[in-house]
Amino acid sequence: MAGNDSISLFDLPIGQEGKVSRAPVACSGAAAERELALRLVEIGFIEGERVRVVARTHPGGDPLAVRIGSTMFALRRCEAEQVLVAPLNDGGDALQREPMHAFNGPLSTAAAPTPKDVDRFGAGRRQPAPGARERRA
Amino acid sequence: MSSATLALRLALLGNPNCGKTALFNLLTGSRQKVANYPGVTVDRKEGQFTTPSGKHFRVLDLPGAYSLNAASADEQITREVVLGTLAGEERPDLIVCVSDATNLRLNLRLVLEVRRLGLPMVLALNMTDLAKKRGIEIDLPALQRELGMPVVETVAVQRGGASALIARLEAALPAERPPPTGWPSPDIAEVSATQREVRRILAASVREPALDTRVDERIDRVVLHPVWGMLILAATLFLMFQAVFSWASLPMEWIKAAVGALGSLLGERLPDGILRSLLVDGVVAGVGSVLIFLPQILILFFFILALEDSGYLPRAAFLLDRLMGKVGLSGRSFIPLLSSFACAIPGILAARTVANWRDRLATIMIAPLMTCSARLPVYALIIGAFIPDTTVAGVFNLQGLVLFFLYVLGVVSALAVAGVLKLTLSRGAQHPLLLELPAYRWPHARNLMIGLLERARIFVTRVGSIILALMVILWFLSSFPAPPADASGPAIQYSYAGMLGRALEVVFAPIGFNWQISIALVPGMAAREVAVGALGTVYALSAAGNDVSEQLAPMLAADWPLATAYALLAWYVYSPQCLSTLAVVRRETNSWRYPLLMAGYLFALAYAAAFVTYRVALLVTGG
Repeated sequence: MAGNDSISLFDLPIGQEGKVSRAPVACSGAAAERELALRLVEIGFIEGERVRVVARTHPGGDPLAVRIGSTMFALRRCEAEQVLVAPLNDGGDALQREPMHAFNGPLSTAAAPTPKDVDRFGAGRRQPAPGARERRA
Repeated sequence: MSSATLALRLALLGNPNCGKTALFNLLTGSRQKVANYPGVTVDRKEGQFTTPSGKHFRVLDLPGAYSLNAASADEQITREVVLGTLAGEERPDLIVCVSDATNLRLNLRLVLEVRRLGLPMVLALNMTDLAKKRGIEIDLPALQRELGMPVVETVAVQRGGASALIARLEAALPAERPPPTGWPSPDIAEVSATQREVRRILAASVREPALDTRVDERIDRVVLHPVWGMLILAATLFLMFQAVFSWASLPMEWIKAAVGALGSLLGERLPDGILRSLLVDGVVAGVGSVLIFLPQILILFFFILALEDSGYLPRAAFLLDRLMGKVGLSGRSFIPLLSSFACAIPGILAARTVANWRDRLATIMIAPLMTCSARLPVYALIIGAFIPDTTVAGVFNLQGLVLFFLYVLGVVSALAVAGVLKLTLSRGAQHPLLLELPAYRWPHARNLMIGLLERARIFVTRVGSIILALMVILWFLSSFPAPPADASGPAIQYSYAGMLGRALEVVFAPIGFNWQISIALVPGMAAREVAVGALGTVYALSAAGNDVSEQLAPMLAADWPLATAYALLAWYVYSPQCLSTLAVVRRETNSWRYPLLMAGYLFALAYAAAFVTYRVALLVTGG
């Protein structure tokens, strides 16, 4: 179901509505990752659920506050990256949109995962969302 | 029922932030008992109530849990209690699942999960007043049918808000207790299936207009802003500590006056002798000098409880996550550390909500560096005696500023220590934060009151037991043996306490502590605030007039050089001596290594800080 339009929840701009297109799955099979994926599903990150990033902290936009249902959860980057979302164009109102990582300075340095990051969060688990970063840049 | 009390055991279970504890308070009122679960230090809150028809219930307020698939010690306890596998805890006869009616999407999954255990259950839809205000329509009969259990509406913050629940409790009990069931840990597919079931049930029984989050989000856009949010947080904490100092002054005057009056009353009525000395100098003066800080402790807790109730505390944790992550902590450590400002012990216990062991250990190790309220008496005494009560820059009280600086010094030191720990404890992968930021709510006066009363009770019990005992021991040490008939100095110089103080003075002289301070530090081992009472006792006894109603502060101001006062303040930023904290660390970490390490590093820091402060102050003041 995670089509070409899907991006990681971490990459969803502040204020934009998104729809979970792939619920967290534990690919690497590590116990900690399985537990995390399970908990994310338990608190409502399942396919079709609407989400919105309400706030991010400085610097790096990590952690981020995500509205889901009628509550909000603060997630760190490694948690948010377990969830894939499809940005919705209808839901997010244009006024609320703010540039991604508003307080970060250059996007290219702050947002791109370093090889170390990818490695740390479980190699091979996450396909970088095709087109997501290019579209933003 | 074979049980002698004939009381039925009822357990309240629910997500965090569903108003479960408020409902518990409403049901049981002041008939509560807070203790620990055997072997662990998760709070066990039990209360009781009797229904209008005379049925007696014992209510257990289980720790908040998102799932039976436990991710924290709290959730583990909740699971073991409802499964009946926790040693020393009988399986409840009835479970009342508490759900936030405005957030059933999140809450109902746990209800379905617990339902599988086959225990008698009632679902309490809490905060229905709020749900109605938001236009959420819940079809109770339909929901009841779908869930197969009684569903009642409750408003935990309203008098009589639990009457529907109480009315349904008895009917919900089956004639026989169901047999115990196992609980196979679910996989993701099963959890997803349950989530779909939740959505199906909601579609069939709940009509919910699109949630209007505009107000909350407008607030959050400022409160969670990386710059404004941090400024608001700093201002909030600063105001909190200013309030602790300024609001408390009036009630503290009252307590001081009452203690003084009691002292002189006893002094007049009792015949001169050992008993009078014990009561007036030991008990009244000693305990009074500690009890006086109750207003400050309550004001601090008032702020912490109100901020927690309003939903602000987790947001502060969110803001600080990155900063704390730098030194190897998580934002989750913020709440335990904030509690440590009241007392390190609840803080260390609250560190159990930090799921990752290394994060938790780091949190525990630095918790004593947060300025606990037991240090407040010492700070208050010395600041009151040595820092002029003047206004700086038109608005700030200089005494308040110095106090704020001491708090900041503690926090900065804590971050530094955590940074060092990060280097020594090998770090694993990045840990999850996963923290709910619930909707903003007005704090509820009744729940604040119950929370504050609990704190007051803990403090007064402490004063009444351990501190009183230490005061009496100290009085004995400082009264005996009696001085020789031709003694020229104050009596205490010739006592055991005087001898001990003189012996310790050798260790503490390089950092400017006189023998009176050295004596006071000894009973301060049991509880830091006792040092003030001890100073009171030492000085009351050594003063020629023997007048306990005389204030301690001016006496110290006349007796101590400024450098000594500053050195003592610096010592108390780190002050290692609190046996109860070390005992709790021993229990929480299940090893002697960490409490010993903690005592060692705190002592080293305290001594070094006091030494540097004393020497620098001597240079500056030309001593």
